[in-house]
Amino acid sequence: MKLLEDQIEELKRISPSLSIAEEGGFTYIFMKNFKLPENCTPATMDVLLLPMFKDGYNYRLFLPQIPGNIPSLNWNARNVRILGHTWNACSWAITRTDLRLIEMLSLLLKPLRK
Amino acid sequence: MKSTPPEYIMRIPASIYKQAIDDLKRPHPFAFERVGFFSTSVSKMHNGKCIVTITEYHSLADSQYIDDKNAGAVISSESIRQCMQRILKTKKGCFHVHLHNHSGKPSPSFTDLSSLPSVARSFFNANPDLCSGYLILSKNSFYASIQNPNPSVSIEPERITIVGYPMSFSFKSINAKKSDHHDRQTFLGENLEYLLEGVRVGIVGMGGGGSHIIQQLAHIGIKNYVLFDDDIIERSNLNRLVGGWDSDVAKKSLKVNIAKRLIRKILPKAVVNPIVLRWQNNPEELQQCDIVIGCMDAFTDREQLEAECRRFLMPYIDIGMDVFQLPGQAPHIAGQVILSMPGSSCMRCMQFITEEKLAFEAGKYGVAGNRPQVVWPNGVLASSAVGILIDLITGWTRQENVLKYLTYDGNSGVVVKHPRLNYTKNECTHFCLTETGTKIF
Repeated sequence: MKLLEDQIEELKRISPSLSIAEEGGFTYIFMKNFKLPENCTPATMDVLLLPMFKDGYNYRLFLPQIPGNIPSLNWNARNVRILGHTWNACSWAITRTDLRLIEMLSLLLKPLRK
Repeated sequence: MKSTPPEYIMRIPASIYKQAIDDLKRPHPFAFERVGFFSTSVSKMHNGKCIVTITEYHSLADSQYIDDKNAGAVISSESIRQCMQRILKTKKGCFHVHLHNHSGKPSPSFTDLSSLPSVARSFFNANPDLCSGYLILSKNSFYASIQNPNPSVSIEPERITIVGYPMSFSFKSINAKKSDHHDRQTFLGENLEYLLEGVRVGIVGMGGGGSHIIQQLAHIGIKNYVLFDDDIIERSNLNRLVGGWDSDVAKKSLKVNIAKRLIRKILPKAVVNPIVLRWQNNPEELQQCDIVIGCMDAFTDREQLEAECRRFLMPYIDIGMDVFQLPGQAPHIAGQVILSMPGSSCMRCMQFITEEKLAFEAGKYGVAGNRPQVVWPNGVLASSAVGILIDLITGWTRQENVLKYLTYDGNSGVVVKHPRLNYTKNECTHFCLTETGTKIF
């Protein structure tokens, strides 16, 4: 998947040290020390954004651990292995398929907010 | 405090190995031999072991050789500097590689020992967190020296593997003895004992399929196992779990312990590591296996396991069966055995794993459900998988670079090559050989 440069630049404004990686035909965006919603503990984590359809979801956000102090969610992807690292993701379906990277990230963070 | 040097497992994709051999065999206008460089990725484990995967081969231009008759090949300092720059830029280690054009295990010559350690140290100093050193290839074996922080200590990998069909292995400390055990299987090759002693097989899922597989591998004489299953035996498993007893149900025995008992009854000295976890919860034990066999129901589990095996250059063999029934028709048993070889077509290329299947499964929250299972199809599929594994390590059929996707019709009892293979190219667009090892961000 070819990611649009302007959307990457837009994302870099909130995560300057992002990097892109591919595995299994999927493109992932890794964001180091990403600032999670205020209620989350810890406040920052390395996160992995999958900006394409996989496993029935249009987009997904993977976290290395399930944050504390968040609403109850269905973490149906637990300890999944991607790029040689272990990740978790909650079930949060976004039906729109025309979102910019920054918009998908914002919607994927929504369930973590209190 | 004196620290123990790490143990290394080195894996080289067959296509990159061939590229190196072809290049190193080319005559040079004046040098007696050629030199090249491998880029490496290293994954460090908690137990001190490191997995080194070769990700790329870099040929050295003719102009980078210096005309000096005192050595087979003298190369410019510029070429070393370029390697060091590449280490810094790509975050990949570097190995100096050359060929000793004979059979058998090569060893460093006097000239090699007086010059190559300093080259390896330069590479190491460019980024000490990576893995650098030098490698000597022969016609059928390898020698590697890995640079350690202590310059007086060089480390030879515990095992070096060429990952292709068939595979090649070099184990540092295996001294296999001839045994009557193998009298009826000598056609598998003169190195059989050595291979069976050294190869480490990982099996994920110790149910109907996995239990058949470990029984057969033990009979053949495979000595090293890592077994993953977090489940206990239940009465409904007794219809197919080989080695499972009625008393195990009452005792709620773990499936991995039943498997260990079965292996040890056949091979008392086998090294069996039973892991009562999903493999995702202990991936490092899996990564140290030479070959992995998956006996799982869910497509999402298969997809993850294949990706992990690709990343750590382990051939992956998948088996599975299902029973379908259409209204008014007899039940139909179907199954498959697939070899997913790093560098060749993956299960997506073969259209065995599709987004439709994964999405359907995700809709059921990843639960494959209690599918019908019986013992004899598992036996057929497990036997086919064991046949592929033994050919992979011994090369006894003399087939090379073959794709394996077998389909089983349980109603007619026939196993054939899947028709999709006729339309599948022996290449993969989903996993890249340059992207192996734990991804460093």
